[in-house]
Amino acid sequence: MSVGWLLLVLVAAVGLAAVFARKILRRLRRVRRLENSEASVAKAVADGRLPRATGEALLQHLEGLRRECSEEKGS
Amino acid sequence: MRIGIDAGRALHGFGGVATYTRQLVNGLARHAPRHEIVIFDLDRGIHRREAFERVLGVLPSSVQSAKVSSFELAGVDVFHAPGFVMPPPGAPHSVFTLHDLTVLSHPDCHTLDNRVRTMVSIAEALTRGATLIGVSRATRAEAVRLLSLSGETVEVVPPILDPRFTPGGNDELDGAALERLGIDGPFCLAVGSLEPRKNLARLLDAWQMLPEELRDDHLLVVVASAGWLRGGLRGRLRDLEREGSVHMLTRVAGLDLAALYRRARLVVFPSLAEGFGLPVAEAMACGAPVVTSDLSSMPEVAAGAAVLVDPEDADAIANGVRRVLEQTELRRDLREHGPELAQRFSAEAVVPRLLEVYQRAVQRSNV
Repeated sequence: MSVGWLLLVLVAAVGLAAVFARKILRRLRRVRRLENSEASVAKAVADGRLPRATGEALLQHLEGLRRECSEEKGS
Repeated sequence: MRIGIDAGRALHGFGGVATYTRQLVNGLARHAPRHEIVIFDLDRGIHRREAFERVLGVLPSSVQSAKVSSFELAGVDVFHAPGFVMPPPGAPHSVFTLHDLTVLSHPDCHTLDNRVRTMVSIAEALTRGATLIGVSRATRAEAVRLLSLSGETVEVVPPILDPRFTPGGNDELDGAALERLGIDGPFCLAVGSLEPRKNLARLLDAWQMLPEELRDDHLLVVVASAGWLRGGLRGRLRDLEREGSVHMLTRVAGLDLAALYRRARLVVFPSLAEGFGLPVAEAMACGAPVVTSDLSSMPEVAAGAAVLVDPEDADAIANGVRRVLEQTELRRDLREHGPELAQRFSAEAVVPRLLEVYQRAVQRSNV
């Protein structure tokens, strides 16, 4: 195999790894944002700044999204 | 009162939120001269008066722009977040516009990224005690249903319509606009982004169900920005365009869009869910007969001056379009009533209500 081909394969592998890493990072960032948001909602309910019913509804939606993000395949 | 507004979305976007923001700033600048407005770009954090002026038009001296880094120095009394982005901590009391809750009611119509971003910012607005503006009673009802909010926590204030959307255009200018856009002859108009919620695929099904003579006599003009989750829609539109039954346009706004509304035989907007439904109000303001959905906020916006159809049923959409195209008297009736009813969304009608909400927000923050 020529050096040119080897370089091409290397560049393709690096490119694929970068795309994959970017997707994982994006997923982690989303999960972290959702976790932070859940913590703020729970604190606001505990402090009495947010009605319990609204807090529970928000937590349910945020948790659902977080589960979806964690289970998400390849994106 | 010194009112801070995040006008960033007006600079970077092209959809409903960008239009809402542009008209919010313009409406306040024109109709609340006793108040000062400070505009920010929360997305980028930078101050670009020229960029704001290019997008928003000539800004009066009561409108200033500031960097987000000098936020606290700007000394605003109340901050309006119209683009789903809350201001940094330390901001004064915020007013947050809830454009819709379709990320919860129609999750399949949104990308996961969009749903996360929207829900996180709604949660932030609620935990920081922001005053919520719902753009319609339907949106408020959705907030009550899906977020267990009490109705009185959401103030209903509709968007402000672009004042250029009027029934009486200049014939020569409108004709020139149509020529520039490549339209010759009678046409029906659909406006919205290429995303599943706008239901464009079903509209195309409905269009193909129309009697041949109606389709031969009318072009379907689709004004659509990029959107998401398009599936094969773009390809289908291209095929229909090649056949000559559809004419696709992107990024048409302002006077050109007003000309399209005024000259359209009808405007069809069969969206599956909206927070408001700007194209319905814009078309009515221009005196265009409207066919729209019988659910979500659309009946409220149309207030009787539109033909309502079931958006999940292509047959029903086709029948609605057919009725309007075939019944001259119905068309005349809709053309007559639309502009009058659209006055509810003029800056003259909306700005005083916005100022009341801001005033109450300031009072709340002083308690």
